[in-house]
Amino acid sequence: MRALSLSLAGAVVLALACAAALDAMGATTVAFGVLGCCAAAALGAAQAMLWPALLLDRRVTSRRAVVGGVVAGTAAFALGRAPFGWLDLGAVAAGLPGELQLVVLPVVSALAVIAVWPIALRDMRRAMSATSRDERDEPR
Amino acid sequence: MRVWAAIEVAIIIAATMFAIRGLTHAPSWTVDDAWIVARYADNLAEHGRLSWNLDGAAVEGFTSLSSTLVAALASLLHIAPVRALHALGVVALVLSGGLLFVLGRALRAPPPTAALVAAAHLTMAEHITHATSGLETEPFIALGLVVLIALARALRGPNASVLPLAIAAFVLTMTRPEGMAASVAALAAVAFSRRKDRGALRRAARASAAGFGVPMLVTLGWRYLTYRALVPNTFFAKQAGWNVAHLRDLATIANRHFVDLVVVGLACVLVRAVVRGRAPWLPQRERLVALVSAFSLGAVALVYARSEPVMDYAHRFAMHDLPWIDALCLIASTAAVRALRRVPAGTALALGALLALATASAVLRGMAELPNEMTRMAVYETSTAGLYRPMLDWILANTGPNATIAVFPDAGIIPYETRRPAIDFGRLNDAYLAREAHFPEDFVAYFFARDPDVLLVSQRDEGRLWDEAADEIVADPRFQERYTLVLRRDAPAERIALMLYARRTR
Repeated sequence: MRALSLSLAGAVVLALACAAALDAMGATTVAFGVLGCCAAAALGAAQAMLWPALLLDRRVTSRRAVVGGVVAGTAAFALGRAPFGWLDLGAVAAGLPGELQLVVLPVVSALAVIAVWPIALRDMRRAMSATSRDERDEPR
Repeated sequence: MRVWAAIEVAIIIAATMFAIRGLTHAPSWTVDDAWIVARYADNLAEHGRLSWNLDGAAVEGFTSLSSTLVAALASLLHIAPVRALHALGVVALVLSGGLLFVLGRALRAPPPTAALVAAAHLTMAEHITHATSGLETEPFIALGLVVLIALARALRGPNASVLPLAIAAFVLTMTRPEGMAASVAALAAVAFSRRKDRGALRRAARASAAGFGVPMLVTLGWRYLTYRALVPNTFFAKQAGWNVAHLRDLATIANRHFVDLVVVGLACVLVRAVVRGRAPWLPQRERLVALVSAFSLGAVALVYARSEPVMDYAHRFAMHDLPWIDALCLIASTAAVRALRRVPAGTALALGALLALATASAVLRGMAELPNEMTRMAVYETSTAGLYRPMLDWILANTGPNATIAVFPDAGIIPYETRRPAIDFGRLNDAYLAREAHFPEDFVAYFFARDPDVLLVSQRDEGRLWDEAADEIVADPRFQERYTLVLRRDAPAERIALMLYARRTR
């Protein structure tokens, strides 16, 4: 459960990054919007599978991971584009010149992704140390 | 299921009420081109001649034959044609929610699918502008939906009647010639669905010929004999090189109102495919309706990409694509709602909430545009009243009923109200200027050959008239010698001005 929620959290953040990037571009181009969403969903799914495997050494069944990733990616997409959603950031960026919009939102989103990694790593260490303690305390 | 059906009806009624509220708060306005239709309608009703001027070669400077005939009927009944055109737009918009509901039923879309699309459709603020403009935009959208309903019904089985589809297709094509693409595609789709049943195919062919083919041939024959062209003069007047203005508007509309819904819908289908281990496949009827819609969308986009978007206010030409976008969105949403029934409850709940969120986003974006549209209408009406009314009064007071008025380019309210013979240098109502005049010197020669009593010309920017031809006419020594500026009115907010020149002597 912990692995799945961690995966989904990662998926949301990465998909938000995509949603932000596509919002900057998709305001004028539908194709970018659709491509961006596909990317968000795919990244969400990939995250849901990769994080537990890489960080926690646990596996989530691929089907659950893909469903979780798609749902999380889609949620990030829909929430990101909603007029009342987190893309108030987009409204701030909208005041910037067009070229800057294309740069600022992805960069901000990328920073947000990087910010999540330490949390994920801490969670991983806790999980691993808990696993080691369990193994140590286990009666021989 | 009944609860969802009730929710669907409630959402459609609420969306329709939103549109009605917008209509009641909209300022009274009429776009200048609607007066062109009114002039044709009056000429037909009062003199039996469907042409711009009562004398000279006939020309077809209106795009919508059906709207013009309705306006002429109103004129016969002593109702102002422009009022009839307004009524057509308003009725078409108010009915569109119901039409989407019927389309949903015809495609067996589970409730509340049709409501999602109807909410996104009806809350687009641009509808208020088009419904009250006096042009055929809203009737064309409504008729496009009628064609799709008739198509979905004709695809029910080999015994389903094709005649309603053929008649609706004919009326759609008479409303705007672009309707031809959807009409032919829809009738071809029905024929394709019956390819293995010769009897049903023959019946479909007979109905298509009776409702569409024969009336189209008669209309084209009449058009050629009367106007020497198979398409309206507006087609020639608007021919231009490649431009992406329409595609940009189309992208704006789709991105603002439909992308969220379609993307979340596709995600629902994807989840269903992962959970069930196989992808769902659309039934043949939905597949064919989707194909017809996609083809119509592509064909119209191609036509508009070679057309100069005159009178392209409030994404007007992109709005003509709405029936096909609605249908594609409805089919995507139908697949999504069906998919939700086959996934675990928690996932279905989350995705259902996202579908609702996507619809709400579209609705909120549409509502946010409403003040802009209201301002657009009010500014247009104030500007035109301030610009045109003094010109009208001057012409009526200082010229005789047979005086010739040249307009450059707005050929609407001035020729209509003055009822004088007119020359349209905007080209819509002049076959020579639309088809044969290619260079500014052609326009100059034509101007002095026709020798009008009055020239009404717009100034696009400070120091520049409407186009190069207008600049050359006014700069010509003959013009300087014969004409004098009698009136000028400015609309500083729009940075335009209108100038009235009158000939000094014969």
